[in-house]
Amino acid sequence: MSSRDPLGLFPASQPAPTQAATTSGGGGGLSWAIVGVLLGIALLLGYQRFGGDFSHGDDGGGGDKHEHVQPGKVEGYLIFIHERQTLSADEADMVDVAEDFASVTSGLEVRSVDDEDDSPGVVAAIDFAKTKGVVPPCLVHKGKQAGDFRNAVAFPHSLDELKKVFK
Amino acid sequence: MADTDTEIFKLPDGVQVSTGLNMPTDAEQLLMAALPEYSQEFYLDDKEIQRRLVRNGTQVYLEKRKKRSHRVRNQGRLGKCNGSSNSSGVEQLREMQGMPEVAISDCYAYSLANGGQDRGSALITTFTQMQEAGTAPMEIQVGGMTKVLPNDFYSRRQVDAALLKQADIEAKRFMGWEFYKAPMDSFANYCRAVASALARDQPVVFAWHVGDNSMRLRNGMVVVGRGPGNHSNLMHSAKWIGGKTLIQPDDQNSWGPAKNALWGPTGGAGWGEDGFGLFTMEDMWACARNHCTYIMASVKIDPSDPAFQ
Repeated sequence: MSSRDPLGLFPASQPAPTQAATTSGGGGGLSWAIVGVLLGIALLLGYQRFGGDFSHGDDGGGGDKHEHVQPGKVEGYLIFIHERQTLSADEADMVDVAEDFASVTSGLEVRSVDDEDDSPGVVAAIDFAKTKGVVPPCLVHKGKQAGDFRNAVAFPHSLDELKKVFK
Repeated sequence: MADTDTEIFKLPDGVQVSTGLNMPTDAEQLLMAALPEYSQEFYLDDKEIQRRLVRNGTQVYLEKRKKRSHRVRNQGRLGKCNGSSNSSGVEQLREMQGMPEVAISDCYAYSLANGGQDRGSALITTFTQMQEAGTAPMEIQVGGMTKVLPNDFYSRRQVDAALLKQADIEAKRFMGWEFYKAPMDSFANYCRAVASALARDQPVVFAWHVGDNSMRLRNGMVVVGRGPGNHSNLMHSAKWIGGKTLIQPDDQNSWGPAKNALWGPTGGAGWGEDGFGLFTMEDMWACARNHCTYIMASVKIDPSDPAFQ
């Protein structure tokens, strides 16, 4: 056993690996550098955790499901209003995408309804969409409070398009 | 409470269950004829049906079974199969449309369709009433208390008047909306329509004939008896097989095992694989000339849903 192999892990014919350059005697500067890097990473993560956005992308960008959305903006209901003749396959897929999105987004629920459902709640949602220049098939975002309609967009065909309703 | 005139069968564990599908009268035949047909515009091609029924190499219906097994009903000795199948269809539509889960009373639906006697009903009558009268939830608020509709009544006279009155009001919250009949012009179109609906997760109510040998599955498949149709059930999903018939629809029967008393008497092994069993399209088609197959595409919103306030 040598002083570099105190536990005898390496046979005599195989030299023990050379110890890294950070020895107690001469590595103090590098240790401080590592601490500094770790501190920087921690600050970066903290900033993102509390709503910061370093990507500078728009709300529709990126595949991450909650990178660009903030809790207050996405709570409430995503109401898909489809046309009388049932959901097309693409539209049904989009509702599935929205449900996946809602499942990882606290406080968000999805509904899909027929545009000829004459219930007052559906009529109100369609009337609101019209004020945004949108007619069914479309997507309306409504908050948790009564009458808190927030935005409406044409029926989205991707998650990127869906996220535009939160603008 | 039950005093049934409908056929009684015995499951392998000895539990007795009933059916309850009657042949439609002339008036009911006219109702059937008047229903709109599932349009060819809704048909999906083979590739799309397969894509929606097989995800990541797994048949979707197996996942759907797990998700829905807690809603498997047990109609027991009551002849309320039509109430059960249609109520389960409404529950599935609410799931599909993102609405909160609510247990629907199949007895309430049955009581509107049977003339006040436990002698079964015609499928079309219950199907139509789902759109015209709606159907009540099991749990109802009366005088500030939650009361539960019994799951063994067939006549409105058997229910407390105050509870029934509120049930009639609540039923307006649970109305069918886009309901169609499956095409009967050809077997190919029938298969395509049913497969397209199930691929979209739209429930399908249908009739079949239960025989003494129908109490057990054979290799996972339902064994169908010979006859004009004496039982109705819900196809909730399907297994993709391709070829001419495209799918094997997955039957959600109403013979247990019920896992929650809201959906019927609990206990016992129930029927099939946790209440489910696969059909061939040929067996599903067998009784469709006598009792149309119905595709439920959507329900109306619940006006009390906060999403629509």
